[in-house]
Amino acid sequence: MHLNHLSLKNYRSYLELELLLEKGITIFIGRNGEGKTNIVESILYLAFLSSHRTSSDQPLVQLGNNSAYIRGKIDNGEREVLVELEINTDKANRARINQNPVRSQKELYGILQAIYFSPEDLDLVRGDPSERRRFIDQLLILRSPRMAGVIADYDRAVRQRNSLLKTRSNLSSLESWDQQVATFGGEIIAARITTLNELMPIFSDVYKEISPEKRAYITYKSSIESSSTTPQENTTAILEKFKEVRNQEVDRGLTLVGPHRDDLLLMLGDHFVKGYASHGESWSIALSLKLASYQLLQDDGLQPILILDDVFSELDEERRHRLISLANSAEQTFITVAVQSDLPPELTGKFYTVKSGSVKPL
Amino acid sequence: MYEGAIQDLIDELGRLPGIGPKSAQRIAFHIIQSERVDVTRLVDVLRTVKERVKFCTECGNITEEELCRICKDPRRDGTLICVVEESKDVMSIEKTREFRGKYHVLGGAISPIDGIGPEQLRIRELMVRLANPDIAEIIIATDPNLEGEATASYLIRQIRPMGIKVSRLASGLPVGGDLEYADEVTLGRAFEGRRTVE
Ligand SMILES: [Zn+2]
Repeated sequence: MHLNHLSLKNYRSYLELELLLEKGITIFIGRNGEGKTNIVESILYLAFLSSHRTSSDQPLVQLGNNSAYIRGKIDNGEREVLVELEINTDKANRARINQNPVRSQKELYGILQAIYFSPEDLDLVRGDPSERRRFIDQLLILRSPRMAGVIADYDRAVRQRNSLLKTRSNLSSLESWDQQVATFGGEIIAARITTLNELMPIFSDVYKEISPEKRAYITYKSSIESSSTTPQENTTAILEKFKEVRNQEVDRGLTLVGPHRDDLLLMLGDHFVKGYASHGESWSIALSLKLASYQLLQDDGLQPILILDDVFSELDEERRHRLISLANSAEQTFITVAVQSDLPPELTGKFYTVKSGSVKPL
Repeated sequence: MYEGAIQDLIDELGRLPGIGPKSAQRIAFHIIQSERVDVTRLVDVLRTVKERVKFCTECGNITEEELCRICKDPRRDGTLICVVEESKDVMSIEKTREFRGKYHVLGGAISPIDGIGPEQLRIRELMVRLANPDIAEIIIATDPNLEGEATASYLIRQIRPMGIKVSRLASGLPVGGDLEYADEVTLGRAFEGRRTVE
């Protein structure tokens, strides 16, 4: 798939931006703060309905406005789809697909698929479990857009259950929420493990190519004892565990069991990567996770858009080459860099310079 | 910020559901530019609706009398009760003409985030109605979303020990939405194909 046209209005530094885009590699060159990452961020927003840089929508809307607009024309190989998003600071966001308003933004998932590499990827290795959960959940949604609904329902059911636990008083309706948290949670855990089982061999192979000395692998660490690829088994296990931890949950006003408490354990040889791997090894692991997920999607028959946001300055010669050969294999790639000398000289594509919110062909 | 009365009007309109600050301002200016007679009619309607319309003492549906039209109708089957969240759901189901029993309007759904538990809904009133031995079946038609599901499963747990048949609307309703979004045919078929909860 590829993006034919991107248009932004009141989005971050862009009062107005119209870009006609093509298949192949597009490179945006600009110093930090000139607005190059804002462009790829808006593309990722179309894919994930959230920014890869901020959890709140507020900074996306230009100061003094209530709404920012992102419009993208996506060619998925069969037809062209126009997606329009209105990001609002004072009310719910709105979206249209081919001019038709959608009832739920969830309908946008799957229309544009993208995988991104950014300096923040290092958080996959060094950051909190929430970073790794977000990584695997985004992959689930890319593979099966329906999962976006399951995850949203799960998150809301957990919030409802937590609110109820916090009241500590009348817990007569707790069982109703237990059932829903366990049902959605069981499905999410099963989907994560299924995807992880497919991702793992690719990940190990990719890592071995980058760094052959040690074997890298991943295991799923769950808040239930025997997590499996069968949703129903997980649901039963969650309900069992709820009985065990009931008192703790009431004490803390928190749901302590379910996929929102789980983690992906990254392993290098016999060690946990976190706190053990060197800076270079950490980068290799992060890079391998992203490369492997791109390959997994390709194996699914998908052609996600590839985004390489400001990563070249972080990487050595060999890893840069890995990314360039991936970029050459993708249907469409967007690259941002601060200076052209950070790019491998053999890289070809369409170059733009980005300066104080204006984008010009080089 | 405007001054005095106009800002008061914008603030009041802004409190209404689905009306943001911009719409509130637009409506306020529309009212200012309208003929006095039109505004008077709107004021009268607002006052009358608040004075006359109340909730049916039996089922909780909106009515201008003690009992609503449906509760008073002797042709309706009193052995069947359909439980819904809001009065507007009664309207949606009536349009399908598939249901000839009576209703019970809960006044919302369980949602701890909004501070709504079973005590805030008309569940105690429902239990009182169920003490009547003539009642043969309860059909739960809460919205097909998280809160509607939680409410349904709570009700099922409460009603089942009483030995009354409980059923849920058949699937096919748009998941995650409100009953009112379902078209009449879909909703009618959901009624027809309702399944008993074991
Ligand atoms: Zn009534």
